[in-house]
Amino acid sequence: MNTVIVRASVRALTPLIALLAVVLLFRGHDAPGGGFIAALAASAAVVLRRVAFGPAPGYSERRGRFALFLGTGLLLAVVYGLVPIVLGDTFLEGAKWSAHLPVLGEVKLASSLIFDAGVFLIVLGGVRAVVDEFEFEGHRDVRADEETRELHEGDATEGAR
Amino acid sequence: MTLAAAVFLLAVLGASAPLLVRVAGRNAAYWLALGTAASGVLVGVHVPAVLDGEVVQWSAAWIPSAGIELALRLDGLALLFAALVIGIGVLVLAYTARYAEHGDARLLTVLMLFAAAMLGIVLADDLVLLFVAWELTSITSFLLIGGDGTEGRRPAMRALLTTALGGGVALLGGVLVIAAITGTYDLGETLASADAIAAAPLGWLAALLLALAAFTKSAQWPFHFWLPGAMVAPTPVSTYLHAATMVKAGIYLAARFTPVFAETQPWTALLVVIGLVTALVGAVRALVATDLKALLAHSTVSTLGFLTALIGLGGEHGIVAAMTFTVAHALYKSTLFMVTGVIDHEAGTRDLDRLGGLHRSMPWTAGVLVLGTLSMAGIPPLLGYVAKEELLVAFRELAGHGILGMVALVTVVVAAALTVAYSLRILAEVLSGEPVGHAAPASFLAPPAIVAVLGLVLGFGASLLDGLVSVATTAALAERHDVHLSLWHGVTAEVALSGLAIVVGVAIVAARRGAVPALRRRAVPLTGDRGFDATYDAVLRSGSWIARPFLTTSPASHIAWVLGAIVVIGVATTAIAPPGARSAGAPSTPADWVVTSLLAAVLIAMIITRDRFVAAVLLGLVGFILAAWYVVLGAPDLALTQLLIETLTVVLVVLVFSRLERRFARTARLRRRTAIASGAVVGVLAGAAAWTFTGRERLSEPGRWYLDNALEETGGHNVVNTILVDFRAIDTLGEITVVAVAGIGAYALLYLAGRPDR
Repeated sequence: MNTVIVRASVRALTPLIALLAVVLLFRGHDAPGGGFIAALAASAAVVLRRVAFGPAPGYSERRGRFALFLGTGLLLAVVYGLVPIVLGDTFLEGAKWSAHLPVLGEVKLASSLIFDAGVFLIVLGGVRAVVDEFEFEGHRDVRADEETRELHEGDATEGAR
Repeated sequence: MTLAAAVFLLAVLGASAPLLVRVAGRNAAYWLALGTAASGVLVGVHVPAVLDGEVVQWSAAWIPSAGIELALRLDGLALLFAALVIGIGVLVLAYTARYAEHGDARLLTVLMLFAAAMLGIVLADDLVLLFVAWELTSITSFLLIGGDGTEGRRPAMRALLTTALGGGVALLGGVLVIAAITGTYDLGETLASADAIAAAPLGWLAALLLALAAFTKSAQWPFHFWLPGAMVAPTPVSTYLHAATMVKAGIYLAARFTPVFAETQPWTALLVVIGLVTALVGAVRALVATDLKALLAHSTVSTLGFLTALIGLGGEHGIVAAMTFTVAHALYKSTLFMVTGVIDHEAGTRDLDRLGGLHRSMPWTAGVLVLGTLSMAGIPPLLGYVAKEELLVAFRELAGHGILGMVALVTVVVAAALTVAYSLRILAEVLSGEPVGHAAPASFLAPPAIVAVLGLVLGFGASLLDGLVSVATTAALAERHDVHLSLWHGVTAEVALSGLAIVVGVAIVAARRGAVPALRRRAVPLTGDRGFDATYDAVLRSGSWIARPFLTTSPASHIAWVLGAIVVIGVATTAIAPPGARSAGAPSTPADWVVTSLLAAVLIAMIITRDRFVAAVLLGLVGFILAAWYVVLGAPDLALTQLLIETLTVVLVVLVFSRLERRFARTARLRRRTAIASGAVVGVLAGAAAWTFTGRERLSEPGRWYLDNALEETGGHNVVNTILVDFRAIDTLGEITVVAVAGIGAYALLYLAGRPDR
C-alpha cells in the first residue's frame, strides 16, 4: 500500500488533518469537538503516515516515544487539577475569562482547554502505542532488517565483554 | 505548611532526578542529598516547639464529603522517625553518589519518591492518608527490589504481595473498623477515643488487623521471609528501605496505636510472642549466614522482633527501650550495610569465608566496620549498648510477673547472646587470614564513617537523646514522660545479664568451626519463602485452570461465551422485566425507517460476502450509518466520535486482514448452520431486549440541569464537552489514566510479540 499515489496524498493530507485537529480541540468547549475527538482525527494522520511510509528512519532508537505523549498529557491534566487547590478552590475546578480585544471582538477563554489538551495528548499517545509497533504488510522487511542489525550489534557487544 | 512543603519537596526532587543525572551524572545524588537536607530544615524549624511538647499540625481539604483530609502532624513520635528518614536519607544519597559507577536516574527517582512516602507515613494525621503513604512505600520498595526485572523479580513479588497485599489490605481493614467505631479518620481524635475502641465489640478486630499490617511490613515471623530476599536490591536501597526506615514503618504504626490498643487484650500478648519468636529466628539465621549482606538482613529481622516485643510490652520502660533501640539500630545497621557495599566494591566479595585481613588491606573501612559491629553486639561504650540495657530493663521488669515473664526474659538473653555471637563472628572472619581487597576512596567511606562515629558519640553522650526519646515516649503513651539515658547505671542486674550474653556469645564464636555448620543444617526449615512460593504457584495454577476455556486461538469458542451472555441477559430482561420498566417512548419518525432499512441492507450484504476486505468495510459502514442516526437524533459529538473510531478501526482491521487469505475459507455445512442459527437466536433476543427498553424518552432531570446551567457555570456552549472537562472532570481524569495504562500495556504486548525470545 506504500505506493506513490498514497504517499503523495498522505503528504498533502497530513498538515490539513493536523489543522483540523487543532480547530476541533479549540472549538470543543462551544461546538462539537474537544480533546478526544481532535485526538482521534490526529490519529488518522498518524495511521496514514505509518501505512504509507512505514516506521520512520531511526525508529528503533526512538522506540517508546509515545510514552512522552502519555506522560505529558497526564501531567498536564493533574497539574491543571492541582492549581485550583493551591488557589484555595477544589480539585479540577475550572475558570473562565472573557475580554474585548480590538480586532477580534469578544474573546473568551476557559481554563478547561488545558485539561482537554491533556486528554488530546493521552488519546493520541494511546493510539501511537498501538500503531507504532504494529507490523503492517510491506514493512515487515524493514523491521526484519532492523531486527537482525540489532541482534548483530548485541552479539558484538556480548563478544567484547 | 512547611511540613507539607517538606514532603512535596522530596517528591519534586524525585521527579527532577532524571534531569539532574543528565546534567551531573552520578554526582546528581549529592544534589539530591542537599535537597533532602533542605527538606530536613523545613521539618527541623519545628524541633524546638515539639521538644517543648507541642504538636505541630497542618491540614487541607481532600475528600471533605467523606471527612478525609490531607492532614499532617509532627509530635515527638513523628519527629523521631522523621529524623531517621531524613538524616539517614541524606547520608545514603551521599553514599549513592560514589556507590554507582554512573548516575542511575531510575534508582534515584524511586528512592526520593520512597522518601516522600515514608515521611508521609510518619507525618500523616489522617488514617486514609497514612494508608496511602503506606502502600506507596510498598510499591516503591517493589520497584527498587525488582530493579530491571531479572534477578529481583521473584523477591520483589514476594515483598510486594506480603507488605502491600497482605499488610496493606489489613491496614485498610483496620482503618475502616476504627472509623466505623469512632466515626472519624482523624488520627488525633482516634487516639483520644481509646476507650470507645476498647469497649466496642469489634475493637479486637481492629487491633488484630493493625498488628498484622505491622508484622508484614516489619518482617515479623512468619512473614519474615521477604526481607532477606529483598537484599538483591543495590546496597543504598538495602540500607535505606530495608534496614533504617521502611521496615520500621510497622514499628511506628504499633507505637502510634499503643495508646489505643494497650488495653485491648490480644495486642500485648500477640506483639510480645511474635516479636520474641522473630528475634530468635532472625538471630539464628544471622549466625549461620555466610553472605555478609544476608547476615545483616537476618539481623535486621531479629532486631525488628525485639522492637515489636518492646512495643507490645508497652509502659515507660518498653517504649523508651523501643525508641532508643530504633535510633541505635538505624545508626549501626546503616553503617554496616554501607560499609558492606564498600567492602564488596573493593574486595569483590561479601562472602565471610573469602574475606580476611581487612585491617591490613583497608584499615579505615575495617575501623568503621568494627564500630558498627560492636554497636550491633551491644558492647559499651556504643549506643547499641545503651539500647540493649534499656531492653533488658524492660524485660527484667516483666520477669517479675510469673513464669511467662521469666520465659520472655530468658528468650531475650538467649537472642542477645546470639546477637553478640553473629556480630563478633563477622569480626573474627574478616580480620583474620590473608588480606583481600584495597583501600576505599575517602568520599565513598565518609557516609558510613559519619554514622558510625555518631553511634560512638551518642553512646558516651546518651543524654543527648533524652529530649527526643522523651517526647517520642510521651506521644506513644499519651502521657508525659521525662527520660534520662546514660551509658552507665552502676552495677545492676542488667549489666550482669549483658555480661552473660557477651560471654556466651564469645564462646559460640570460639566454637564456630563446629557449631555454625551444625546449626546451619538445622536452621533450614526456618526460611519460609518455600511456603510462600508454594502458595503463590498454586494460586497461579488455579488461575490458569479457570482461564483454560479462553486460552484458545479459535474465535468461535471466545464468541460463544459472549453470545451466551447476551442470550441470558436478553431472556432475563424481557421475561422478568416488570411492566413499569418498559419504555413509553414516542413512535418512530420516518427518518428512523430510512436508517434501519439502510442498516438492514448493509448487514445482509455483509452476511453474504465471501471477501474479508468487503466484510470489514461493510462493518465500518454499519458504524457510519449509526453515526448518521446520532446526527438525526441530535448528538453531533457522539456522531463525530463514532465516525472517527469507526475509521480507525476499519483501517486497523484491514491492515491485519492484509496478512490473511483474501477470501473466507469454506466451512462445513453443520458448522455454518450452527452459526446461522445461533446468530439468529442472539439477534432476535438482543432485538427484543432493545425493543423493550429503548424509545424516545423525554429529557431526564439531570440532563435538563446540565442544559440549563452549563453555559453559566463553565462558559461553554457544548454541554457534552462541559460535562467531560468541567462537571465530571474527575471521571475523565480516571478514564484518560486508563487509556494511558492500556496504551503502555498494548505497546508491551506488541513489542514482546515481535521478540519471541524475550
